[in-house]
Amino acid sequence: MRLWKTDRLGAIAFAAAAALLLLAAATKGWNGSAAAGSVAAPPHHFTADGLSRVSAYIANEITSGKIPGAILLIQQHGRSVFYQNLGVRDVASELSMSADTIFRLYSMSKPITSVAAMMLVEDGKLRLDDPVSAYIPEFAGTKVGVERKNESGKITLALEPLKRPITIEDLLRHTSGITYGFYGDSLVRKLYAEADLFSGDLTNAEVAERIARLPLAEQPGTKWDYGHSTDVLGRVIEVVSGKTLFQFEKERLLDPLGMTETAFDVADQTQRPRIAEPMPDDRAISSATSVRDPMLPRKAESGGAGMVGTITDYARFAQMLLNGGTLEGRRYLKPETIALMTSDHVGPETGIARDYAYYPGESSGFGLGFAVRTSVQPNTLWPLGEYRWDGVAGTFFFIDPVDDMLAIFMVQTPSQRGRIQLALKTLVYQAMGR
Amino acid sequence: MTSFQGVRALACGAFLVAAALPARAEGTFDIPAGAHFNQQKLARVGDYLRDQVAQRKIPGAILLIQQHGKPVYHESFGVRDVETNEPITDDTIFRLFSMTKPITSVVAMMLIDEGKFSLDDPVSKYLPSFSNVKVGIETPGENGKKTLELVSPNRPPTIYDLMTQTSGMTYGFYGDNLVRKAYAAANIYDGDFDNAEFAERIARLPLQNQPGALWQYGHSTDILGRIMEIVSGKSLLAIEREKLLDPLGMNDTRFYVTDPEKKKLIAKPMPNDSDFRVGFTSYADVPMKWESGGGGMVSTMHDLARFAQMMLDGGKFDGKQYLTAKAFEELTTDHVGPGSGVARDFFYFPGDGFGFGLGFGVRTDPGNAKPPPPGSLGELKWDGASGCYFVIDRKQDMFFVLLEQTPSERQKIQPAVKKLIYEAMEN
Repeated sequence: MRLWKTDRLGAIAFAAAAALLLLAAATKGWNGSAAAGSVAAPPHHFTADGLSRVSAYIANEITSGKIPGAILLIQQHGRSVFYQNLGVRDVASELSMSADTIFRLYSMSKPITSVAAMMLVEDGKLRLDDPVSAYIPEFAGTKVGVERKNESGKITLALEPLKRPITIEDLLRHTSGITYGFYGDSLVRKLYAEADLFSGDLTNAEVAERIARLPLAEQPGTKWDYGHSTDVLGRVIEVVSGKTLFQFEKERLLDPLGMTETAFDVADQTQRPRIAEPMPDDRAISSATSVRDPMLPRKAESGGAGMVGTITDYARFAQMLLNGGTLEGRRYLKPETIALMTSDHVGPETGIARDYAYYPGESSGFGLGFAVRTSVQPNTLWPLGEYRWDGVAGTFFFIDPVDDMLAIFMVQTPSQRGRIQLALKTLVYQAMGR
Repeated sequence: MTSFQGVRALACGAFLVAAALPARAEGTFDIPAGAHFNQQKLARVGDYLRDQVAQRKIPGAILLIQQHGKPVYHESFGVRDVETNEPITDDTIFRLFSMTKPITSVVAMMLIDEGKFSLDDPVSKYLPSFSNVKVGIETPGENGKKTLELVSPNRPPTIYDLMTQTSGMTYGFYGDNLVRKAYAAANIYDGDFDNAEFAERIARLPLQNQPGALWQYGHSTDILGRIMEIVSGKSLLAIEREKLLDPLGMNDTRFYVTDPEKKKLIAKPMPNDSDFRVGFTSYADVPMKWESGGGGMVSTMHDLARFAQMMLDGGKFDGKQYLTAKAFEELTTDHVGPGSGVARDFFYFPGDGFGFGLGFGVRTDPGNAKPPPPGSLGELKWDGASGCYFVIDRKQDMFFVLLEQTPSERQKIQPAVKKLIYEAMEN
């Protein structure tokens, strides 16, 4: 069975677009131009009271010493309906949070890399069903690591051949079998942890080769497994485009979109004061790793976690997505590509397994770079079709086409991020009666 | 007694003018075009300033009057520093304080004219923190104590509001209402902040009034300076140098004096008159990151004469057009007059007979005083907390620039000098 041939791609896109239209028809007002006299539910608008509760929540996080400061932006119908920067970007410098404060985006890099990859797909230079080994030959020899108990009861790792090659789509939806080494304790994850992929200042090519030599945690296309897939995708973009990942993204996406502050590092030493820092005792992103210093140059441009940027930049990226691939008259992706990226690619019909580390959560599937709401979040009126992602240092965003709105929260707090994201998102939706 | 002589000299001067020109009921207001200076009468300006120095009211001053492109009076008085007794020359460096605002405004207008930003743009387009700004309304409480109620602005403050000083942003160092107290209490001048940080600090404070409702002297021009940085991608000094200071040859007009040789050229106020009452202490020779477009510049007579001549000539100097006709007109047309909806209160600093353009006071009418204060209709002017002062009179093709450093004497000296200058004009 050959999944994801071009015609299939088109069919999915059509289905996704149709689903969105149905949703829109059901709720009205999703694009801000709903006809008057509609019999459907009125569009959801933000109330001043609701927004002041959002604001008070963030302020309380700061005054209670949980975070140094934060910025929340909400845009609806293409315009800012709420923007607030509160607190400081660094308790040491006491400089205020501001729209040009630089944050470590970590996994919020993934949607950017995914969009860049889909631009190459639209160019016809890359196909979702291409084997990764067509671009990174080392992946031709990659094996799956299967844990086996030997006679003495000791667990060992047996290497099995792949049942099918890893595809570009597997990289985009995290079903490649490539994992992360910093959570879980399986033997494969331990090998990932030991491989220490980003030490030794390797290039993207070298990182990808190292990953290719590691066993996969499972057969491609069998399980959603968060990992270095998007880093490998970044290398594929380099091979296909003949440019570094940053060069390609800069030329095709970042510069035209005006995302001039989004990059893989902050090279200019005078910009140090612009970087947001977590509370001094809140720098650990895992038991072994602390938030990185974006001023330390490194060769690898991690498409999965390496970017830094501002809320202003990310707002332009997110608005382009919400607009169906355009911003200020320039097209970046076709609407059907956005529809494809924001439809579920790991639903029950795919047989793709989910375990305790299925980060999109129970009510969501996963598209090509985003979690996508596929069923109603319990005890909420949150709409379907909402897509989103977040980063380990605390940043998160969500895009809600039904209400034609997006929200971006910028903060640096590895330890408080989960709690704050849920509470804040709940308050934001409550502020528009959901 | 020198002080007695000074008073008598002034009294005599006033008597002489009254006796010589009994027919002119309007005194020195709006003298017909084509007037020239009577050098003998002009000498009284020198007498007056020399007397101020002799009385030790000021260490010194420098005055240039230029008409038809040529100096008609150019003299310095006293010393630049009573400790060194060095003289004041054209390259003596003075702190301008608010006289910085017209310079910032001219460069802003150049950038607006280039389409870098627009007068109608909301401030929050460039500084999103201002999207949440509130207006502070004082309401009397039960016990007679005033409380501050925060309401949303009727419309967002715009670039135009910043340039006309009607944004609602105020200064914390004068007046006593609750918003001004909030400014004073916010410690907005703490530490070595830059323009970006300063804008964030101002964004957290309430506006004193609804945007466009009241002429309100404040940090508007500092916020304008930050926006100029954002739209140009350069520091405020860098963009001002590129657009105006370098081409116009204003090479000593800067935010700080860093060259050790130039530091010797800084004019100092009298040791007992060094509080400029601007809410914070700063020094021309101690550079900070802050480049205050509202009050941070230093300059010289050499530089300001070029700036004033450029404005006198409608935005042109040495064959180079700095401001288009449209931009010049925007800058120098009254925007806060009757029908504009802009109210004036006790702190309307442009003063009697003046409206306000985009960074300049503009003479619009005789005013309420009898006889009216001197000057011509259409006159452009501004000054600063140290007493630096310029008047640009396009009707008479004349400007004068007075440079001094005296926070406490300036309000007496500036009008006295202006009056004597206009009294020296004859048709």
